[in-house]
Amino acid sequence: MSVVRVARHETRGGIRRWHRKETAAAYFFTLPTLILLATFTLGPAVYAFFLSGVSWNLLNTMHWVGWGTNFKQLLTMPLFWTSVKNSVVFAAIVMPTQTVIALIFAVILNQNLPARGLFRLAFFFPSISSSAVTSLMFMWIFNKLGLLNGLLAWFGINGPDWIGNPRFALSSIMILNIWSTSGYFMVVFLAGLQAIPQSIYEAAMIDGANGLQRILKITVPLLRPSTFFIVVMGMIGTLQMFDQSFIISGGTGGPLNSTTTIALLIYQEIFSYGNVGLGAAATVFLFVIVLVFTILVNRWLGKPIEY
Amino acid sequence: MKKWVALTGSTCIAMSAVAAPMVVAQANAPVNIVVASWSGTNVTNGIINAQLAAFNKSHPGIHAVYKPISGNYETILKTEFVAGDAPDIITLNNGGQAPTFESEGAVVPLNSYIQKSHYSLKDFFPGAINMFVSGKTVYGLPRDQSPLVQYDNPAMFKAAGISGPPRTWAQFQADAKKLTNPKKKVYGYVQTPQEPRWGQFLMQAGGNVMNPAMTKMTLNTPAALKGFTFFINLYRHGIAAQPSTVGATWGGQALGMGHAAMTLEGAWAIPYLQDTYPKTPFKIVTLPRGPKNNESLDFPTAWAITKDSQHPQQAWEVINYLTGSGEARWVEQGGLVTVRKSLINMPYYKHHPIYQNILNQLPKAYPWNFPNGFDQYVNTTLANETLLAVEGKITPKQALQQLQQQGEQILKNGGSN
Repeated sequence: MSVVRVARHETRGGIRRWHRKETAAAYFFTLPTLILLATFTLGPAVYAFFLSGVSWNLLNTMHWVGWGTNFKQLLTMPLFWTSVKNSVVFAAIVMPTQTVIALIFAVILNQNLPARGLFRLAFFFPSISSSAVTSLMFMWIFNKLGLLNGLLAWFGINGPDWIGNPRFALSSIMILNIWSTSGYFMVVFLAGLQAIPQSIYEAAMIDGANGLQRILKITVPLLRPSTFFIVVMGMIGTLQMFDQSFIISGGTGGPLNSTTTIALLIYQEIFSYGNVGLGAAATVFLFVIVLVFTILVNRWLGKPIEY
Repeated sequence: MKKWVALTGSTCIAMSAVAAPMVVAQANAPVNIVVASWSGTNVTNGIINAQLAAFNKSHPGIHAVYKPISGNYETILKTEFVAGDAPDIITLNNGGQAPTFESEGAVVPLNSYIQKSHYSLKDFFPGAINMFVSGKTVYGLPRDQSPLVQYDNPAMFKAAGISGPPRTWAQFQADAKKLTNPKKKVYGYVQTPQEPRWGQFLMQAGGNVMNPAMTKMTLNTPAALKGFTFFINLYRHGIAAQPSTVGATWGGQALGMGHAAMTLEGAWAIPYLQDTYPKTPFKIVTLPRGPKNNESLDFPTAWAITKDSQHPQQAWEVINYLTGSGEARWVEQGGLVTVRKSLINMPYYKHHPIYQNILNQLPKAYPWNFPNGFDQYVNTTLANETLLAVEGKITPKQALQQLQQQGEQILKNGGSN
């Protein structure tokens, strides 16, 4: 049987035909996924790009006004730049913090500590909880008469109205976000740590490297693939932060637009204020920002490890 | 193998047996009418369900079902309109949402149905019906309403030695001062600094946010400034507080928690306070008088037929039933107030005297409304400028100037921003 098959493939045409057949089969098997991707991911993305050039409030008839008009209006809108500022500040603080915290916890929990499993579960737990639930929980913690201020009162500090005060509202959401995502990234780092060969540490110890040196010179560089994944995912996640702002501010982005992120503004413009074109333009803007940052991170961290 | 064939065969036969009568039934099956509203309290939902069940019993040709929409009601409705699949009947809300749906043609005029059925609109409170009439076109028939009224904690009044509720602005201010005790986290007046909670102060001073036809901003009048300044100064003088200052999210909650001696809310706070804070006593009084009157804001809602309805005639019959004089009385059971003048003497109110002052406020209640295009203005602009004034970052005059200017801008752009 097999002899016959090999003989048929020996001719060039045979190989080409076999190739074509293989490709067709491959496409056939991936077709369901491709259709889903095209319908629910690629299609809407292209449609959003189209929508960024229309004037439409969801109820009237859509008409084309051109990309120039919408983008000009968007880029001259003070609220848009407030949202960009909020999103960038949010990402710039949350992403590095959660990465460092995740790394620290991962290194600690990679040691042979008592009740290690329990701690791993405890730190991972926030990331599998619904963000709606954790947001509501933190609203109670950050309440003027809530847990956090109760704790501060022990030390004689009269805590602020965290969520009601424009100066603290975004910081409150940052704390919530760091708390809820660090655990997930910790698990990613833990997996990365297990992949580092023990022999390298042993060699370093023989050479006289101390604990800190081992972490900084071996663990951190060798974790680069995990770090890359975490930085990219963390950046995209923080730049697109929506749910926590939405729930904590009741959908308004308040107080005084201090928690309006780009994603929340997109939602408000499209669904609340009936400016679909503007919202879609902001979507395209967010896409470009995320793309640029991802490319930059890829240049910085995306290289393979060389031992 | 044989067993399998037999099984499939019998299933097929069974299915066709079931399917056959279904086809027959479909020919004269009742027409489905979907009635949508935001999901309210269990009480509200229960009332609508009960009303529709009674309707279905007496109208075999129509099957009306209630579809509560939880979450962002208007947003979800808009997406259903985009899909061309909106419910047959929707509830129009105050605060500018009704004019948006009306002027975009999402809901259909009811005039022809009203005429054909000889339906009278005269019994409705003007505050409840006027908001859903544009020119001579009627877009919605009132479902329920509630004016803003004052909620007091009588125990706190007694402890402070105040004999009765304030009847004038001056008394209101003086009482609020006596009732305030920041150390105990108790404030004379606790309220969110939002326009639907300060608009009435402008009217009481003889001003308003917009003219009645909603074609002009009127925040630059001395009367508007007088009312707005009175409101802002309550906070500036420390006798009023935002709910978040006392760990609450709205005035009613602050009152229930015992942190507020007075707040302004609608009838919806009655079942909430009774259920959530049964130990906190509360009393309802009409609003204290300003320089001109004691006018209040009114929050009416209405039923309307959507353009997507395949059976508008049947939908009209449902609305006709829901708003009919005999049926509207069910509405009063869940913190909602009747929209019919003929019903204010009904027994329910005699047995529930807590509603008396709400009914007393009704004749002096002006619907809270904005024209199409004011969504963002209503949602954030008004709240933001007010908050800045409450925090003392800008003067009341500056806040009103900002609001006047931004409102004029929206009007100039033809109602869309």
